[in-house]
Amino acid sequence: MAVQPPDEIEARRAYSTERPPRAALLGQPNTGKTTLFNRLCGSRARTANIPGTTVESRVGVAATTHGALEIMDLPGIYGLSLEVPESKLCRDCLDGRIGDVAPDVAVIIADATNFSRSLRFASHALRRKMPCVIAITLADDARRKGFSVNAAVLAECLGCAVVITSGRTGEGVDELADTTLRAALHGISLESFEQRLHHLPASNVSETDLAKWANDVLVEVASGRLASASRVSDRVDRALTHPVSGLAAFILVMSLLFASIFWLAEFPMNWLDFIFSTAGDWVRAVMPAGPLRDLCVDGIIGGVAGTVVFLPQICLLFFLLSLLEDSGYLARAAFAADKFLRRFGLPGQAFVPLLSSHACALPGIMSARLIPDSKDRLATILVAPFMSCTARLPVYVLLISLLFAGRPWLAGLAFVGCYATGAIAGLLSAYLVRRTLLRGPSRPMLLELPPYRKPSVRIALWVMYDRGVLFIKNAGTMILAICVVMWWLSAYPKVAPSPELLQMRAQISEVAQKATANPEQVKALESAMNLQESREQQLGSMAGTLGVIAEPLFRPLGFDHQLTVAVLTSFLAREVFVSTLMIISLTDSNDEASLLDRLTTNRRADGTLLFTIPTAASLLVFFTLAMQCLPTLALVGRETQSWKWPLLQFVWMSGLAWGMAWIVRQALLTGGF
Amino acid sequence: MVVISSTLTGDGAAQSKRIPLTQLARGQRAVIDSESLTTLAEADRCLLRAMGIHESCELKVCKAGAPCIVEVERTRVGLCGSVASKVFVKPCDGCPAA
Repeated sequence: MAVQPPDEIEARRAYSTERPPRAALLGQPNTGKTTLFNRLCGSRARTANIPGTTVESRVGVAATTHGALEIMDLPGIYGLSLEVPESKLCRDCLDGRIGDVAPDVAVIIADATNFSRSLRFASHALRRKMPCVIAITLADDARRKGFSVNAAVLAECLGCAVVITSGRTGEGVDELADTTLRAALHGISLESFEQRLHHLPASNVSETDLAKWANDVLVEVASGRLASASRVSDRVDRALTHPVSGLAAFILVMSLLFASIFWLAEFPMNWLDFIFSTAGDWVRAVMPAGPLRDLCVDGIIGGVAGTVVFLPQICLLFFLLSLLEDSGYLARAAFAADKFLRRFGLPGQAFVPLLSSHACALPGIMSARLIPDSKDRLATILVAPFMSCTARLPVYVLLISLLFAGRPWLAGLAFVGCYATGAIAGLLSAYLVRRTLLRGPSRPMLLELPPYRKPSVRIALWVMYDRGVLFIKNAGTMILAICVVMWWLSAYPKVAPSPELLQMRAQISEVAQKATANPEQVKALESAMNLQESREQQLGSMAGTLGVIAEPLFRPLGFDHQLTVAVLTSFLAREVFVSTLMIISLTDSNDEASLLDRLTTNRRADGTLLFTIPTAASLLVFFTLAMQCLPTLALVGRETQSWKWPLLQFVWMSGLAWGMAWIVRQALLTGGF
Repeated sequence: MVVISSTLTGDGAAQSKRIPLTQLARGQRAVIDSESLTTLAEADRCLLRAMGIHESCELKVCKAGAPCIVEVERTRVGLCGSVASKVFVKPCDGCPAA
């Protein structure tokens, strides 16, 4: 292809619009497209939904010799003409029907290690009247296996520029960026488009003839021959997809993944927790007391801390997932899980989001983006919060200890039961939603199993950074706003101190003024007063008022208005429930036994015990199933770009939780407990 | 092995019985029957073709049964039972099961 002189390019560049020319990366899955994109744009990339859609795309800017080039990484597709959402989206994007502006040039990815299929894909893409550049990826891999392509001859055969690249080594990446910018600025004339069409097979050619055309081109442009996958790959595949060894490998890998998210992330989570609490203490110390300080400390810092503390889990999950995906295992695991999950209307790929949700629903829901079918993805997002997350653990510990004190075996079984109840409810809900609201045929499993490769840590770090930034953006906007509103509801209006509280204050000042005052005694009294103040504020706040109003709704479950307040305030985050119970029980001890003692003797206004076995059991079931997590709802709203789905999720999960808790309570009451 | 139909073609490699893909043994090679994909839903047929599983192409079974894994050219594709049972192939002579 003729190369334009630089001065002409500069002249055209000067007349170009304010934005840099845009290139769209178009290619099949597992062809090194995203690796190439990362090489081209590096950290100058951001992930965002394509405007007007829920499909995400990465957009970045590549530096070329003649200026910037904006690059858009479109979803991997097997064919442009397929009637699947991703292919339709790519067509619409190339035609400028969606997105802010149509791309000026298409970079068609051709995998050197699967060249015949790539040529067939390219033949369809090249029929579009727009400048095109063919980027041959994984060239280093193919060369190592004795296969190479002559770019000049291929350019002659296809009538467009061809660049040999490798996203892993960086080979040809700069040349590709320059060539693409030139093609974008040069545009395409009718004459050159017709010349290009002349090189391609007819649009209505049969698949057999298309394969023959691709093979003819291959013979002309390529040297060497790639052998089929090795016997080692065959053996590994057999082992990983075997009903017994495949399942064992699946459980092992997923357990390691889960354990990493669960335990390894605990250290940075503790650091973040420490940083935020130190920041909160510092702001509390330097700002004068008042509503502004409360807003900064409890609303903003507290709200962000409650969400950002999950950042290590999210980063770690996406780092490990990227390594697994890059290695080729993730596709095998999806294959192994598909048969089981398909019975509930979920695809094999749903196992990652569902498993990750056991650590935290936020990364689980974000990882649902791995699922190609939109209905499958939505069903997975809707049921993911049923999985018992780490935030439920403190509540489980407390309530199970109340129910099975001194009976560790039964307590252990109850733990397993909570996890199983959440998982079963999730799977059955998926079954239901796929047969009602998300009706329609599931996309059958036709899954490409990419060759095993050594995973790239560099790419995994890129993915981790990208996902982390995306999460922080979410936390910094919608989630923070909702947390502030929820804090405001539980902190206002300010309640006038009760006579009991005033008496406590007087007692403290009296004790403190004595020359023989014991500092320990003063501290204990202050602590008791603070708890009393928190309790009065909580019960008198808008959330407390809502608790009183909502009490009749929870009365059938055995909850009084204090417990109802605890349930409502824990809507911000489940773990808040335990601290609210500490306030209600007027204990500041972190000692579980102390809290349990107080809870077991806690009484209602009428003098009856609050935590009877039926009430504690119904509370446990309620927390196992209820949607008690505001950040999750906010994220679901963002991922689905609709408030309909998080609202439905909230109503369904909370309704189911209420119903099951009521059944359990009634059964226990009938049983004489 | 259940024989669905027996079609003789002029193609030496494919002069054998037409059977569903799920009935091939591991390691066995076969050619996709020219009419075999027509029983599939349009979307599945197009996707299979785009993945490289098209009429007259030769494949190797990597994992037999349902679901199964086949290799076409250098691509491995996992197919669920509902699709694999509707793909008819003619086993290649001289390519016995491994």
